[in-house]
Amino acid sequence: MNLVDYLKTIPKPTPTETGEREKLKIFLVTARKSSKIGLLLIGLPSLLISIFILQALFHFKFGFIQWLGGNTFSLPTPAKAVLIFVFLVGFPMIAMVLNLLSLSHFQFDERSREFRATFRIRWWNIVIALAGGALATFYILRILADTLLGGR
Amino acid sequence: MPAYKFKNEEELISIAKNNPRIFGELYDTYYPRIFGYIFRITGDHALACDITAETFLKAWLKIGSFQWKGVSISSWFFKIATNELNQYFRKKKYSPQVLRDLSYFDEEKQKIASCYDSENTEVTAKMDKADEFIQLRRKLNTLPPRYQTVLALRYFEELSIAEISHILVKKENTVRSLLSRGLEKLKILFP
Repeated sequence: MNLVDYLKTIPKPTPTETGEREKLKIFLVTARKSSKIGLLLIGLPSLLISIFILQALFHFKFGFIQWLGGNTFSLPTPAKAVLIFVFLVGFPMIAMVLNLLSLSHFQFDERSREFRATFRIRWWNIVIALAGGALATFYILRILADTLLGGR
Repeated sequence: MPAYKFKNEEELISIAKNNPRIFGELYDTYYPRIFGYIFRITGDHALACDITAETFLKAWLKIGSFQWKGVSISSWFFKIATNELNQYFRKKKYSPQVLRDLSYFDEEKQKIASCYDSENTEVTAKMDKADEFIQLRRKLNTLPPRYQTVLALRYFEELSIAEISHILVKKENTVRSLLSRGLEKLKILFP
């Protein structure tokens, strides 16, 4: 028998299927949603943080804050302050918390009565969490400084 | 035989792009072939599970960009699987990147792991009965990866030259010469 015939006729092992494969299928069809959430967690905060950093530190004129101020002029001052606070501090904080949550996993083992925390190393999420935290801190300190020194 | 024979594949794929349930039908149909292909090349059940899962995850995430050119989607699945196998051959280890990125929670990984465990026992038992094939695979594994995949696709998966050419993105004549050189190299290993 030549090699080609041998390769064609040799009995080949065929792994049979079990019902367990269905679980992988369920994971698979929900994966795209997880992937989109992942992109949203990275993409949107990255954009906002970049705009804020360029505007606050390098004085680039994106007009975002001005646009925010211009379109909310009819609102009373406290409401305007809350809105700007939400944009400048709240959103970066949300980006930080969500990205930190996507990195972490908490599990309580009842048998050993142990609480386990696991953190994944995913650099994009870590960078965004840090940048979000830094930005929120920057604006909180700036607001504090404005409040304390504003009266002088 | 595919469960969806009442529809044509092109129509099915266009629906599957936005419908996980329909993609699930494609997955059910082609999982055994892709898993078998990877398993017969690597001989490692857990690794084959990882590569197969990664293959279908990548396929599902990228199916929006799949363009129908009159060739069955199975060729596309084989192409992704072959790329993953090449990654494994290059690094001599395999890390399913997308699977790892999307496995946010350990429960999901455990679900997948339990799939591996239950199938593993059965597959190992089957492999024990396939001594002759194991010997052949050992010889095949000493060849460069490009010969391994082309020989496996042709003789283990029984694909046509045209299909292999589509999967490997090579001209049919190149596939023929790869097969011929692969066979020559393999022949030397048989006393």
